[in-house]
Formats: sequence, C-alpha cells, structure tokens
Amino acid sequence: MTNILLIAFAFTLVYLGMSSRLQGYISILAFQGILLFGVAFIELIEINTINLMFILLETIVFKTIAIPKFLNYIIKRNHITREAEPFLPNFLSVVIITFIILGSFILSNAIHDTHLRKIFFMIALSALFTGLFIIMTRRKIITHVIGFLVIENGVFVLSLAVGNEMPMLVNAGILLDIFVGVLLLGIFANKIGDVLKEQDVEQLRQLKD
Amino acid sequence: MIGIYLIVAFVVSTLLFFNRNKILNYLLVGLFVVLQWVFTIYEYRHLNIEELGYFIPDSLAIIFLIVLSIVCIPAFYHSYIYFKHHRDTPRAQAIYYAAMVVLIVALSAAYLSSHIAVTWIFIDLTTLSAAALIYHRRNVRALEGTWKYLFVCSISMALVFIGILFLTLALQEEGLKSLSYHALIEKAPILNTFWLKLAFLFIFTGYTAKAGLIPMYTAGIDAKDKAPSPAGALIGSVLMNVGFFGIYRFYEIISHTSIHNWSNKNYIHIGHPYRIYCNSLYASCEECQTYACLFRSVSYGVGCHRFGFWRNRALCCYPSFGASLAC
Amino acid sequence: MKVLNLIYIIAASLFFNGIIIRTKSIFSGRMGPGIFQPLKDIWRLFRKGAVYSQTSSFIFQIAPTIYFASVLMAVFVIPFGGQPGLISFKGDFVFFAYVLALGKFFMIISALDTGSSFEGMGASREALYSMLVEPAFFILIGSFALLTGHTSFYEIFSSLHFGSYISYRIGVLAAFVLVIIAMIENSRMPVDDPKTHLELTMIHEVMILDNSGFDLGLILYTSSLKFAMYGAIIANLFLTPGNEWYYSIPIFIGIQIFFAVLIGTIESFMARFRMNHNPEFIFALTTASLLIFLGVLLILGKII
Repeated sequence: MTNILLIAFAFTLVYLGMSSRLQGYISILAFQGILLFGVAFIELIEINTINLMFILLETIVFKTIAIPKFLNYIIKRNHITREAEPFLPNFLSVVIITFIILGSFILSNAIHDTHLRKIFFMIALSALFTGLFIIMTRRKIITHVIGFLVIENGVFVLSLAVGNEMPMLVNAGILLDIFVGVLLLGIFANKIGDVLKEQDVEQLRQLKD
Repeated sequence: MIGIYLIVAFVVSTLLFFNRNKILNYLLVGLFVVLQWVFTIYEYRHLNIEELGYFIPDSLAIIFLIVLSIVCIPAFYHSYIYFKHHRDTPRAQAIYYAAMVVLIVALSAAYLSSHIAVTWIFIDLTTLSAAALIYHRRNVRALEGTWKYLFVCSISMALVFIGILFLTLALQEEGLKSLSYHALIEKAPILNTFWLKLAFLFIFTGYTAKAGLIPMYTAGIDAKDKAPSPAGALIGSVLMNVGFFGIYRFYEIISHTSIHNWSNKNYIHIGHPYRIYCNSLYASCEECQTYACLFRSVSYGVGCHRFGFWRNRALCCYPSFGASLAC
Repeated sequence: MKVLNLIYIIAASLFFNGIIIRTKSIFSGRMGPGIFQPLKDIWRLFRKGAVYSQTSSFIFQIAPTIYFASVLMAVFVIPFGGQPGLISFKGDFVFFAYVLALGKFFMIISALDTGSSFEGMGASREALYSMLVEPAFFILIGSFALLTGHTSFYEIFSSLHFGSYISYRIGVLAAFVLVIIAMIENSRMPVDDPKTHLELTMIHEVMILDNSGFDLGLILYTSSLKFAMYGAIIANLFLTPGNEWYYSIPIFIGIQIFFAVLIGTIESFMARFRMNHNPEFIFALTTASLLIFLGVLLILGKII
C-alpha cells in the first residue's frame, strides 16, 4: 500500500509541473499532506502512541489544512495574481520533472543496500530536486515558498524511511517544518505584501551580489 | 548548569522582548553577559562531563564558546552606541535585544551539544534569531536581505537534515542507533562509505550557508550588510564560526574513515578557488569596500580551513568582527 | 467460441455513444435523445451516397474504410476473460498499437489530401497527440508484460491476477491511464471537444469536415467501436480467468456502462484545455505510465 501511495506522491510532483495556477499548487500541497498521512500511518504504526499521534496530527493538521489555508489567505490578502508565471513552458517542466524522477530511480538503483527501502529514497530525492527546480523556474515569491514546502515533504518521506527505529529524527524534521513554515509564511509573506507592491522576485534584485 | 543557563537565558530574552524600560534593559543585558561568562567558566572547569544527555563541553566546544563570550561583550556595547545614534522605536529595540540573546544562546548550545541532531536544531534556531536581527531596519532592502538569508538558510538546513538522515541509514545498516559524536567517531570505520560520502556532501553543502563558503555563500552576504552593524558583526564572525563548526564536527567523523582523503580533496578544491575569486573580485571594485571587509572574513576562514587548524578559525573571527564593526 | 468476444465488443459499441449522450443530457437537465439515436444517425448516413471533391484523390475515398478495418483488426486481438481473441500471438500488443496507428495515418493523409487548410491543421494536431500518447500505451502494457512475463494480451491478462493484491491496485492505476488514453485517442473532452464547431479549436472533427454520407457514418461508428475496444481492455484488467460466463459477462457490461457514464460525467463537468496545455497533459500521461512501470520494477525487485 505504501508503494501505491508513494507512486501517487510522485505523480503529484508531475502535476506540479503541469499546473499553471497557484490554486492548483496549493491543492497539490494539501493532497500531498493526505498521502504523507497515509504513509506515516502505515509505516510508523509500531512506535509509541503519543509520538504517532503527534506525527499524524502534524501531517493532517499542519500540512493538509493549515498551510494550504494560510497560503490561500496570503494570496487573497496580497492580491497575488492567480497565474504561476513560470520562466519555462509547462511542457518542458513536465519533461524535466519526468527526467528527475527517472534519474532518481536510476540513482537509487545504483545503491547496494539491503536495509534501504529504495522507493522512499527515490521519492524523497525526486521531491527534493523537483522542489529546487520549482524554485529555480518560477517567478513569484509564493511559488518559491511552495517549492520549499515540496522539499520539506520530500525530507519527511526520507525521514519516514528511518522513522521506525529513530522516531526522534522524524520529530526533528517536523520541527524544521513548523519553525520555518510558520516563520517563512506567517510573518514574512505578510510583511512582503506590505512593503512590496508586486509579488515578484524581480523586486528582490536590488541588492546585486 | 546548561539547563539553568538555557532557562535563565530564555526568561531574560522573554523579559527583554516585553520590556520597554531602558534601565531594566541595561540590567537584563548585563545579567545575561554575566550569565554567559559564568556559564563559560563553569563549562571550562567541567571539561568532558556530560550534561542532560546531549551536551558535552569538550575542548573544541570550549574554545569556540570562549570566543563567543568575548565577542558578545563588544557586540552588546556597540549595540548601545548604535541605538544612541539611531532613535529606533522601543519595540524594535526590544526585539533586537531579545533576538540577540536568543542568537547567542543558540550558538552556545550548538557548540556544546554532543549529538548531531541537537546541533542541527540549535543552528536552525540561529537562522530564525538572525533573521529578526537582519530585519531590524524594516525597509525594502532589509526585507530583501532577510528574505534571502531566511530562504537560502532554510533550504540549506533541510539539506543538512537530509545528510543526517543518510548518516542514520549508514548507522542502521550496522544496527546502531546512537547519533552522538562520540559514538559516531568510534563506529565511523565500519560504516558504509557510500552513505558517508553522500552525508558529507549534503551536510557540507548545507552548512556552507552558515560558514559562507562556495555553494550556498549567497545567504550571508546581504544579511551582514543589511543588519545593524553590531548584529552584522556577530553574523559575520560567530555565526560563520558555527557553520564551520558543524562542518568540522562531521569532518572529525570522516577523518576516521577511509574516505578521509576524498573529503580533504573536496574541501580544498571547493574552498581555495573561492578565496581567490572573492578577493580579486572585491579588491577590484572600489564601491565594494564594505563587502571587501566582509569577504575578508570569509577568506580568512577558508585560509584556515586549508591548513586544517580550527583554532585559527576560531580566533580569526576577531579580525573579521573588527572589520565588520569598522564598516 | 472465439467469435463471441467480437460480438460482445460490437454489441457494446452499439450502446456506447448513446449512453454518453444520455449521461450528458441528464447532467444538463434534459431528457435527451434515446440511447439508440446515434445508431439511427449512423444508419441514416449509411443510406446516403458520398460526395467527393474533384481535387481529392483515391486516398480520400479509401481512408474511412481502412480506418474502420484497422480498428476492427485491433478488436480481433483483444481477449475476453479466459478466452483468447480471434488472433492471438506473442507480441500482439505491438500489432494492436500499430494497426490502430495505420488507420490513423490514413485518416491524417486523407485530411491532407483535401487540401483544406483547416484539415491540415487538424491533421497536424492529431499526429502530435497520437505521437505523445503512444509511449504512454507502450510503457503501460510493457510494465504488465514485465509483471507477468508474457507478451501477448491473452497471456498477460490471464496471468495477471495470480500474484498478490498489488496487481489489482496497479490495475486500478492502469485503468485510470487507459481511460485517459481512450479519451485522447477518440478526441474527447479534456483534449478536444466533439461538440465544438469552431474550426480553430477542433482536432478530430476538423479532419472529417469533407467526409460525407457513407464515409462519415463509417467514421462515426468506428469512433464508438474504438471506445468499446478500450472499455474491453479495461474490463480485461478485472476479469479474472477461471470465472464462469455468468460472472464475466455482467462484469464486462458493468465496466462498459461505467466507462461510458464516466466519460459523460467528465465531459459534463470539465472544460476543454487550452490548446497549448494539451501536450503537457498528454506527456504527463506518459509519466504516469512510467511511474507504474517503475512501481512494477520495484515490486518485482527486478533492478537494473
């Protein structure tokens, strides 16, 4: 079952390249939260209950509900246009993301390790590189944040692969998630809306080096 | 002691955040400096004794801690001078001091921690407090600097976390669980070198955002410039030390394995050209004098890395601190 | 007995378009025409003579027949539950794909043959989309071939479900991909709108602007036959061999009806994509089947 959920997760990454509206990106993030909830539930069922509750709560409340709501709120409050405005045509994005997934599959096949669950490694790597790719090729600040959140989801998948034996690391990852998520989005996106009129990275080019 | 230190420092920083009274502010900052020094001396007297399960003051940590404690005195002193000239709102001042205290506490705790994930958590905390410092001036350029710093650092911290996860995979293969430096150094020779290499690459790349080295060096440049100069000096000196410190801790583990040579090569090949690059670039640019000073801090650091003397790295933060203040 | 497969599929094709149209009219709050109305239309067209332009050559005249024949040939290789199709040999899914491609090729050159600029545009779009959708189909069937170790439709489907539950889950994913492939191959809603009459946005409909009478009827009927054919492939994913006819026939009918209703629903609730968003949508389909392929590789542990 985990396999199917993770394959669906990989497909959401492709959809990320396809979608041209911010709304699409946000619903993908919410859907990824649900998928991660499923994976975490199946994988970590054996660890102690309080910890499991914490992790599941994080995936469902934070990743699935709070962050998408908040992003929507920011978009409305700052009057951000609804198009994602990529530098590349979407078709190229889809092709490149496909190659990222293929590449991480080949990379994870190169590893000879009986302990590793290769699918986790593969999905985490592809989410990491897709996130970086989204950050590089989209113009808006908010899409940069979304790319970062995708990277976070990838990190979460990877931490699930070791989570059974060291739940502490999963918690640490979640800490990063909440820390940065709240700070990056909460305080910052609001402030940027106040100071800058257009929500565009072009505005952040005044400092040259 | 570290428990008391963390709690008292937290209380002081909270009070500083809510306090608008000037005299109380002096008192609290004075209290914190005294606490910092008492703590430093206490840890120096109790070398290599574990506290709270996650903190061991070994000699490396103590050197860095002493440097930090020395630097924090002029930093606070110059902050007062700074605020004499800039009439900022009491609220902005309160946030500034509270963030600075949190930054110093997070740095101390990161130095002392004996567990790789705990170090990571505290270094993550420095990102947040440094962001509050950089945003102090609250104009567009400060905002831009803060955004870049926060964003690049967050990504780098995520990369470090991935590196730690790879390390964990290597450990799991051997059926080990402990992530403390001590255990890691002991077990390093038997770990899978493939995972170690990957972990090294990710952790190195991640911490370079803090240390100001090549792949992620863009994080710090605007930040140092846009923060108020005392804070900029802290960011340019001790905060860069902590990045180096994180790399060094991992390098220590690597040095006990067969990939030591490999990592050495990477280390130098990444660091050395960069030094030449930034020195030549900024020496040639008249307007970039400020940057030149700041970059010197980077290049001192890289120079010391080359010779592998961490003591030099710790000490070289004085010239860079001075240079930053002078600008 | 093998002829029965053909009869089932042709029977399904008779109702298929009617069900789609009925679903759409119910969703838009109308009674709509009866289920046999498309069939009656086709019958009306069959009784008419065709009009050929003087500038077009014999290709334009034979293309609809070849198109129909190619789809019929493709139907021959499709098995039904435990029964092989009329033709069944190793590697017949390649035959299946290229026989369909042959028909499509003739439709494209007949559209070019008319010399109309609109038809040329439609032909170029059709060619592009078929090119993009082809890898999706091959990777999908290829991953099933890998999963089962066989290379003909009959063997693949008959040995698919002896593994674990995982094969059913992959079956669901594959059915999803196949539904979209069928939509694209038939130029239905998310990619092309069969109802539109604005030439600039048409794909398939614009290619057959000059066909009339018997030829047009043949093309329309072929389209529903194609739907029924894909429906049969999807049904095959869930028909377990060894089950008696009184299980498999209801499953077959159920899946065909469900498929038709699904297409009607999608067409009622989705808008057509902008033309320049189509390639990425179709390419994403290839990626989806690639992911299924990778999933199969991971499940089998057959690592390069």
